[in-house]
Amino acid sequence: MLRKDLELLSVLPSLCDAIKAFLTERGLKGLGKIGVFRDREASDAEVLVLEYGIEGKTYSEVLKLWDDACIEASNNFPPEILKKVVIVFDEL
Amino acid sequence: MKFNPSDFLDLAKQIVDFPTNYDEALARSIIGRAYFAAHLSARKKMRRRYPTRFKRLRRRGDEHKVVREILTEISYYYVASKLEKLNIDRSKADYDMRVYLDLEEAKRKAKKAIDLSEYVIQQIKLIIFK
Repeated sequence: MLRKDLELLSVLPSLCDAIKAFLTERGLKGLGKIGVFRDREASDAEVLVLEYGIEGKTYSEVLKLWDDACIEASNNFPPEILKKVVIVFDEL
Repeated sequence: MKFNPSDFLDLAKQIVDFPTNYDEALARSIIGRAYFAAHLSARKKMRRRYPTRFKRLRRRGDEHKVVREILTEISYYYVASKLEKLNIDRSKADYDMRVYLDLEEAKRKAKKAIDLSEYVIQQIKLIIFK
């Protein structure tokens, strides 16, 4: 379903660029990957997962960066788009 | 007295280093309890403020999505994202038997789920409705 979501697909490159810029501005090195998660317990519950492994940070530091990245995303992208995307930061 | 969802998290913390021959099963159980501690805490707060959003759901599992959608709409996407991450890991722990976790990895994943759940529950407590 997400693969046919033209609105999401048209915004996706900007969202990825925004996260990349967020990491670069803070001198962070990370490894990103994209996946799809389908919740088998819910109906129509498919989300795009943008997962970033952050190098050289403790998990508590990663959690704060994760907050900041999500806040920046919600300042720049509408909730209708963000409901279909989950941004994940983790330790690398 | 009603059950406090955070008790799931307190239980998870108590048993994470419990000596057992079932390390992977223990880790999978902890990951599930860590998610539900956070999800039920968020649901309680959201349902009190937006009760109609939880009515007439097609499937019981749809309430998980509703909680995250409300959080995103009211500018708490940073909480919604972490809840979804906990849910993704919970789903893998409950359903995906292909993933094998060795002792170290199982314990690491369980402890990380506890940390994330604790962080999310603290953030949920700080949510203010406008």
